[in-house]
Amino acid sequence: MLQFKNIAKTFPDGTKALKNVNLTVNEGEFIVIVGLSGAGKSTLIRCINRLVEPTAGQLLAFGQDVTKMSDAELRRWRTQVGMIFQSFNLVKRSSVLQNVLAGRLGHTGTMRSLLGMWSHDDIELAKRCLERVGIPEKLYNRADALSGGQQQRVSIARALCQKPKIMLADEPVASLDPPTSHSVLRDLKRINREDKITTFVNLHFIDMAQEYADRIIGMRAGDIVFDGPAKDVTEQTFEEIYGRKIRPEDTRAGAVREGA
Amino acid sequence: MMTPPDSGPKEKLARMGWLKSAVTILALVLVYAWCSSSLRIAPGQFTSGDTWKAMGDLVIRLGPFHRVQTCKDANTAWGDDDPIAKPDPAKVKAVCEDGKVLYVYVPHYLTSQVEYLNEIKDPLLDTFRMAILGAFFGALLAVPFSLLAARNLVRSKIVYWTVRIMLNLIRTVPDLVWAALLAGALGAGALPGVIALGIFSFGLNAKLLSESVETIDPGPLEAMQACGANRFQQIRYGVVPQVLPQFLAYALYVLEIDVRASTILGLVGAGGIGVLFNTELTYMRYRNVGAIVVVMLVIVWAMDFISTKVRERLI
Amino acid sequence: MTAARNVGLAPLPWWRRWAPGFFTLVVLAVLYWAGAGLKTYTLDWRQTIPQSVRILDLMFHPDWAYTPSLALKLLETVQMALLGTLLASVLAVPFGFLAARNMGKKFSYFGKFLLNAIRAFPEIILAIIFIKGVGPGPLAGIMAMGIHSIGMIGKLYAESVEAIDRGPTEAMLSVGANRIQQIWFGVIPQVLPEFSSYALYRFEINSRAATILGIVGAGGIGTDLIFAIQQRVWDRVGIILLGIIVVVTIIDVGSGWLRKKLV
Repeated sequence: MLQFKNIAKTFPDGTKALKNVNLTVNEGEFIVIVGLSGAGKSTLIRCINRLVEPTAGQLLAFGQDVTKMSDAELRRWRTQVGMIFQSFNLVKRSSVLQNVLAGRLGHTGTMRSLLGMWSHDDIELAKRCLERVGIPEKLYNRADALSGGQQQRVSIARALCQKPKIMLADEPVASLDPPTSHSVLRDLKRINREDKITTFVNLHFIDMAQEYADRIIGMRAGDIVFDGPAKDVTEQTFEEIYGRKIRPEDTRAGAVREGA
Repeated sequence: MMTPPDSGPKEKLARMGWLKSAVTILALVLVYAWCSSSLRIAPGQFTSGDTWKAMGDLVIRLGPFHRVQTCKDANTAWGDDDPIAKPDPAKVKAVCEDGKVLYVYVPHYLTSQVEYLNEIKDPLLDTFRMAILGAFFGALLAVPFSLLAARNLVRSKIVYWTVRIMLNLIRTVPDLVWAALLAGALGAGALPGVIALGIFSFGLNAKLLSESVETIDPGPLEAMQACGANRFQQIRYGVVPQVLPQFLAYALYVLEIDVRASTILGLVGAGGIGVLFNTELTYMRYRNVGAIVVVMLVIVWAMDFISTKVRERLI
Repeated sequence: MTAARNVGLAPLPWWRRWAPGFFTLVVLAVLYWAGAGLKTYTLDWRQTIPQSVRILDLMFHPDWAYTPSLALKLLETVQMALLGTLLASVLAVPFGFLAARNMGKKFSYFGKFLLNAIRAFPEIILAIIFIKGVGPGPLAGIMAMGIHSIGMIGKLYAESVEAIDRGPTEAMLSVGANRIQQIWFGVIPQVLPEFSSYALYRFEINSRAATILGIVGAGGIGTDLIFAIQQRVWDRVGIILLGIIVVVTIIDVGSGWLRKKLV
């Protein structure tokens, strides 16, 4: 359903972020991408909604080539792809409700969205999405008044509000403490199961990858060096992916012990 | 799982978020309507063709163009001090018979402007002189008062508040008003300008400096107190070294403002090229007015440029 | 016990030692040039000082009877400032976005240049030009203040827009919003409080400017002030000054309070 064909990305300064990526993904998979910083994880998932423009190759999504989409088609495609970020990217001064409703922007006309005239259905949808992530009571609070974990949940709710087919999560738990991290990943897993949304998660914590992933993709220096079911993965696999011995900061639990 | 509360005062207020924006916009529209109605201003006045024609006429005449309006102008070499070649007969006819208004390019425009600037060299330099003197004395005088207006140096609340209020009063009065007052009291000339700029600079420097002094590291001051220095010594060794760079930066900043201000102080008689501006405007010698405007712009740009460069160097 | 190390500082190079002295010399030279060149008539201090004292005395006994007209004129002045600032703060928004490197992109240099050009004109000069256009009165003053403020506020707006957090805009991109929606939901909520703060600050400055513009005939209390000075009616000058101080102080305090609430 989603196919990377010889995708490559070279940045203007010469950095080869993605070298030659070939990948096929089926509906409903929960994929965790691991690798060191700079391995290309972020670039890879941003190719899916073209926040990064691939310099070569094709990206087929439901038969259409994303790299060749026009602006209008691209926007429509993006409404199908929900994304959550490491720094949450919420509009801090707006209410939680406003932030979640932003997920419907692609489906709402410009004038109506500018005037804040959301349809009743949209508002109900937003409320239901917040319920699904477990914080319905925070509807009218200001976004920056919430804790980190709650803010990430709001951004998940925003992505859910798009009714997406694909969910992208770029280091969603790097700014959160361990219990909250597990909680957020559990939510992502649950939504993946319940809604059959294909989910891509970037993580650099190998223990969390093993715990939650169906399929693990390991990247190193712009290439995919491992692609297989999570149960086939051992610590040695990670060492091969990273090209070095595993360190304590590579695991979430380890990060706690270090006092990080 | 909790269900969202639909009532409750906080939620009601949050839901009214759009209401807050609507009320603000409504208030602003009302303010606009009230102001424009009581000032009897109709938006149509901004955009009417006559307005733009009149302004365009002035702007053109600030430049190298002379307006030919009456038949007499058209037929003679007009202005003893403003000789312009006679226009060709076709144009003369156009003005005399058809009543047209022509704008004639003035030959030797640049040379005549340069000559004019040479003539007004003195008032021009006076402008800088006023600014320099005013800024210098203002900054100097500001030092003791800024110390008195710093909460961490002054123990007596009375002194602190008196000086603060005095400084605020000085800064409330715009610099041009000071100049007008002093020019009225002392007569026209550059001296009232210097004093006016001095007062203005004093106020601004004192405020900036006092804020700086209030944010110093108390350590060195404490050390000076501990080793038995008297008040002046404490300040000289505990405070001054910390604020000196900022003091210089502020003094330069105020100097820049003073130079800009000194160009227009003459409008109320306080010396500098502003006086010339008034004179030329009164005699309707618009080309000269244009030259002065260009000079003013150049000064403003130059000060802006210099201060940006200096600030980059300091940071 | 460790041996004492010689931590003597190297002597300062000669130019560092003489720099402060040199600097002072330059400053003194400039001051001398400024002072000596100023062709001031010699003030007859024996006359000027008692005269000034008399003037001050009269100013401190203000002409209270003038208060009603004063209040009216002050209101007019404040309204001028309000209107000018209001229009400028709204009209400056597109200029601010144009001049911001992350919004105007290639055109931002043009935008910045345009704003700098507008800012260079002293308000009074603009007022005189507008008086030619619409005649003397508040309208000329409002236009002059408005245009000058667009330049000033526009620059501040541009700096604000350049400093935004790109995160929310990225989120809007990822959600499939179009450009207008991206700006409305991603940029505007961040910059609006700062914009309002700048507008209020400008209002404080413009209320002072409005008092001055009357001096050249552009409406407001300045006209009355200059007449009083020229006619040497010092007690009236006193009451007008008092009025200006009171109004400007109120505006400063109010605007300062409002700005704190915005941030």
